[in-house]
Amino acid sequence: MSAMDQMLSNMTASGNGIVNSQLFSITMIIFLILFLVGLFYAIFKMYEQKKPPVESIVLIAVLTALATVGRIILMSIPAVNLASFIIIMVGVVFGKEEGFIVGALTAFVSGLFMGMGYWVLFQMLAWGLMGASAGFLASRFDNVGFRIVFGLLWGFLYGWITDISAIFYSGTALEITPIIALYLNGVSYDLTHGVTNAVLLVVLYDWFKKMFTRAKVKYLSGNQSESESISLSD
Amino acid sequence: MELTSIHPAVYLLYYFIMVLFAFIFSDPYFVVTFLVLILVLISLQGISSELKNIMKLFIPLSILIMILNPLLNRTGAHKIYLWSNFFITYEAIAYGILMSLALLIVILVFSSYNRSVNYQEMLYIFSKKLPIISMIIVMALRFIPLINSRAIEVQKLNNLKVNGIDFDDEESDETDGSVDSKKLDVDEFNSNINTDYNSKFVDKLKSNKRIAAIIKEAKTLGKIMGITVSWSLEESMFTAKSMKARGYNATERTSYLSYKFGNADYALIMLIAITVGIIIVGLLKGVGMINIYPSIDFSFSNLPFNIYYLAFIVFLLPLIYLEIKERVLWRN
Amino acid sequence: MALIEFKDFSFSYLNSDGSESQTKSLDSINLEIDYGDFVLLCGPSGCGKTTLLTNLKKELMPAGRRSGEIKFNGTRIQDLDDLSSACDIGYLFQNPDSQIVTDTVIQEIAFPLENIGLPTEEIRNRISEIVAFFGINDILHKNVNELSGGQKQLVNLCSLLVLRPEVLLLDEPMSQLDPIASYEFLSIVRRLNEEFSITVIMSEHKADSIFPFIDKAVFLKEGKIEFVDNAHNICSEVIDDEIFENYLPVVTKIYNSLSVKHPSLIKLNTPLSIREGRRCLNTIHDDLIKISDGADNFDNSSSTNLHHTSKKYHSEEKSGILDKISFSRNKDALIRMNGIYFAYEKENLILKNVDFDLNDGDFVSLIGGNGVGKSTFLQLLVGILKPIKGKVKYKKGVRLAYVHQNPMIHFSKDNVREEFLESIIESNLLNVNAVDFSKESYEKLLKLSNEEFIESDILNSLKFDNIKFKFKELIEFFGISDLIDKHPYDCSGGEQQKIVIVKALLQNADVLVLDEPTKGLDPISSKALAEILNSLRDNGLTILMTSHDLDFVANNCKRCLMLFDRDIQIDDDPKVIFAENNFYTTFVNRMVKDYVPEIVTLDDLKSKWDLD
Repeated sequence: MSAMDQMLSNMTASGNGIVNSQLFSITMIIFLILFLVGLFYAIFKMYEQKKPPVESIVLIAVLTALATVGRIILMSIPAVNLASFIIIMVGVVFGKEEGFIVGALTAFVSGLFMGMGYWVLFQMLAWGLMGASAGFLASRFDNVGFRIVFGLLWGFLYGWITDISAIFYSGTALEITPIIALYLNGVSYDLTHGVTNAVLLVVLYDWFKKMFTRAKVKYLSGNQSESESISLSD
Repeated sequence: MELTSIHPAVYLLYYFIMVLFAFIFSDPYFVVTFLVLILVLISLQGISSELKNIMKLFIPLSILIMILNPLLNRTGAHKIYLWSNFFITYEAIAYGILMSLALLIVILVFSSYNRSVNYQEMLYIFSKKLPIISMIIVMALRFIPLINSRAIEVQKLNNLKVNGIDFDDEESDETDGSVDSKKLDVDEFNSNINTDYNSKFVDKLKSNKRIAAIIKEAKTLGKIMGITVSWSLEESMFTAKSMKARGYNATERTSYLSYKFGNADYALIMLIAITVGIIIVGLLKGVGMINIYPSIDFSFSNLPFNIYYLAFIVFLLPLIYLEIKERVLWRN
Repeated sequence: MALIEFKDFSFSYLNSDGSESQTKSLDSINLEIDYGDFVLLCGPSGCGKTTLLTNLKKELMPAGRRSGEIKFNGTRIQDLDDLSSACDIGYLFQNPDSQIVTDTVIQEIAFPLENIGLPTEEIRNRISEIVAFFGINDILHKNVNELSGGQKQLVNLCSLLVLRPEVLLLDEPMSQLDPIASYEFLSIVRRLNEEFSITVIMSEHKADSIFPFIDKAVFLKEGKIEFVDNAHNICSEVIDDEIFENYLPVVTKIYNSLSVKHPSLIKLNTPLSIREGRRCLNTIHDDLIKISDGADNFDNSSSTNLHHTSKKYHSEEKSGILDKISFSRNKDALIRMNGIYFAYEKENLILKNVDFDLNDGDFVSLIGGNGVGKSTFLQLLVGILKPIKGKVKYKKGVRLAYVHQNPMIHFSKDNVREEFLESIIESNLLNVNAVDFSKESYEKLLKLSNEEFIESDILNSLKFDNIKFKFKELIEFFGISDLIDKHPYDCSGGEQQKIVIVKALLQNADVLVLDEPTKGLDPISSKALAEILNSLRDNGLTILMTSHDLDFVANNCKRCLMLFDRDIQIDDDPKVIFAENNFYTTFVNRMVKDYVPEIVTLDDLKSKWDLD
């Protein structure tokens, strides 16, 4: 107890020594917000500039809605987060850009349902990065072990990224207390989230990959009529 | 508010400044004033269920901050010894409380924002810059209840027990076990849901009754999810066609909504500009902020009756004024 | 010059591998459609109706090879510019839900106007105009998911009309609507056609209420136009056609049969509506009285019989109340509902104190207006909803199969074969028949070719409790052997319906519960379904279904429940119910009510009047 005690008091003491200016933290906050808003704007604009076909737009809207439903349906058990699984799968099958957009928009749209706040920005970042990283590492996903690690890891990463918002509560940017408080508050949440991801990625990966691939091929292959059969077996 | 319309961009500016103020001010008089006025505003606007949800998440967090801060943070001039040489500081307690209050204020400000600006107004601001993304958001909002109702139907179907329905309760309950043991496990043949990773570890896991139950639950959930997802993806192909048929992408989009700057907007902007100007001058002079570490420099006798405090109050009043005025108008 | 001109137009789809399909989906179509025409497009599923309609809309043109040309206002469809194609030609799809893009009604109506870049002022003008015309002010700001199916389809139509189209292409727009909503929708389309001279091309299966006011009917078969003419002429042209005879209004069918015996009728115009039909009957009033009286005894006895049954029904009702107290109802009932109460939300009861017995061998249909709780009743019966009060009891060992309104909901596999295997494994049949089944044999079955799979020993050694078919015979009876390797989603609606019923049967069910199986079926498929259900019933299966198709019910079911005001209002033979009803009855009955009030089906009428 006393060793731990000492360590913590050392840490906080050095932390306090550095900053005592509230202006500094306010500038940080403004910069952080501007940076995030700029980042999202840039990525969204990049997507828009490609002049995506209607099918791609609808697809992203549906996937976003599915992920949001996956989150809202289980709002009573907040840690069991089906949205993350869907976002990861979108990244794997449709690519990093789509992964990022679906992730970010899922956070935004659930924000519209569950209440907007500054935390939505960080959820957008976390989920966006989750989808994008799944897109980057898509080729590795056929390995079960990798999927488990990826899912677990993102349970925690999601928690940590959204907890950056802790900076908002502290008058001084490097104050450690709120951060520790947040992490303690969130450890069980993050763990459940990670385990859910991992389990779903193990159990449902193949099915969802097939399903999304079918949708991808069918959407982007153009105007084939529904009355005509197109066999798209993998 | 029905009887006054304020441009969404003005709202956005106003609330953004409010959030910043919530972070900046640390003088207890200012903080408490802020809290009281925002509470008044929220109670006038009506307390939403979202707010209750968010509060549920944040109350434990703020309690945690209040407890943890003094335990972890030992700086501060005024020490309070709890036993032998274990102490907490008066500053750390004060800081924890102020921090929690700031957090509460921010949440309340956002909650009030959600009441003032509906999503259509918010999207209106985006749609000029990001027409496709805001279209996606509108579509997602339309799909969510649809997908939700589909999920409910799929889930209902899952309740159907094809075999071995509970029969006439009085005379049933015999030899059910023997039938069960012979029965093939459907999931074993389910190529969609993978649970047959052969390893001792997995077998061990499966032999645990509770884990087996969780796995079963997860499978059911997975199946419901899978059917809902593939069904929705399939149906949305028609949505794309219907959009094309109605000329989406034919030319640059316009909007049926238009928000014009009105007198109320100009008045509000003027008010914001003046009060914020005064407040900033005050902030530069140090009014509204206190130093907590290393030694708290606040005393309750320093009453903040000055022009800056007044400007701060005026800054927070306009929405409250409009809400009250609206009530009066309705009553007549 | 005609508005739309097809000149020798042919079309074939591309296969998935990019090669051209051998069969032509449309074959040398020559057709002219004039300004203000109302054209009805008929034909069995897969005959090319949708292909024809989508080829008229530049944005929806399917990929494939086309020859010949289609001209709209003298311009080739492909050469229309984006804006005029979007505005001038409106296209409405079947499913009201899937074509809605935004979440509120006003946004949805504004959507196409925003697309074509109109200024805000103009958009609002046009919306206000359409809202006034349709009188939808009260739903304007509603969320679309609060609307009924009929309202949704109406909003979809509004969303086309704000663009001020010259042509409306309607692809089975009423197939997902209930009869009342269909009627409302149709009367609006008719008004648009008559009062604004908007050209309408509509494909639809149930033509009874459309025939009276169309200018032209086009009957398609296998991509070719078989018949095209105005409504009166086409009725006499297709009398002997095996397929298209089914598409005619009942009135016309009766007239056609009668005119063989009564040549005086031939001189008259073919009647298309009940009103015209009754006038025709009037001209041979005396003859009809005679033949109706000719079997004088029969008529009397049957009409007294009718009164008798209705009396019997009333007395049964009374004893039914007693039954509720004494619990002495049929002991052999498969399923028994006792005093069921149900509500989705408090204070809004859907069912109140409902009692019902489903007996072995019943073929029961459940009818009633929209929203009286028919689907809810079925879901309570099969146990996927739990009653708030009351109990549903099942006979020991009874197995249920439930088919949802939307067959899509039952599919989770990549092909029909796996869907079937899933049902078989679930059914426990493999155990009962002592078949040695393992993962390997499952894998093997998946690898077999189409024919080998249907012939496979494992599956054909299974014996079902209620039907005498073997697996192979079952597949062939339903005529779905070609679908085994298709993705279920790629099958047409009728095919999906059949696959789901087969899935249900493979589960070795005793009771088959179907929710709206006739929805959206063309007359041929509907007939086929009736045959299938009847022969399953003869095999010993018990069937319970809901339907809006009163003719289907009258022709096939032996028992009919009418739900009304939270309870079962009538429980009797459908023929008795419809003979008693005046408004809620079959077209046949409405037509001949004056002469033979007890007749509700065409077959009965034919035997009664000795026709054909």
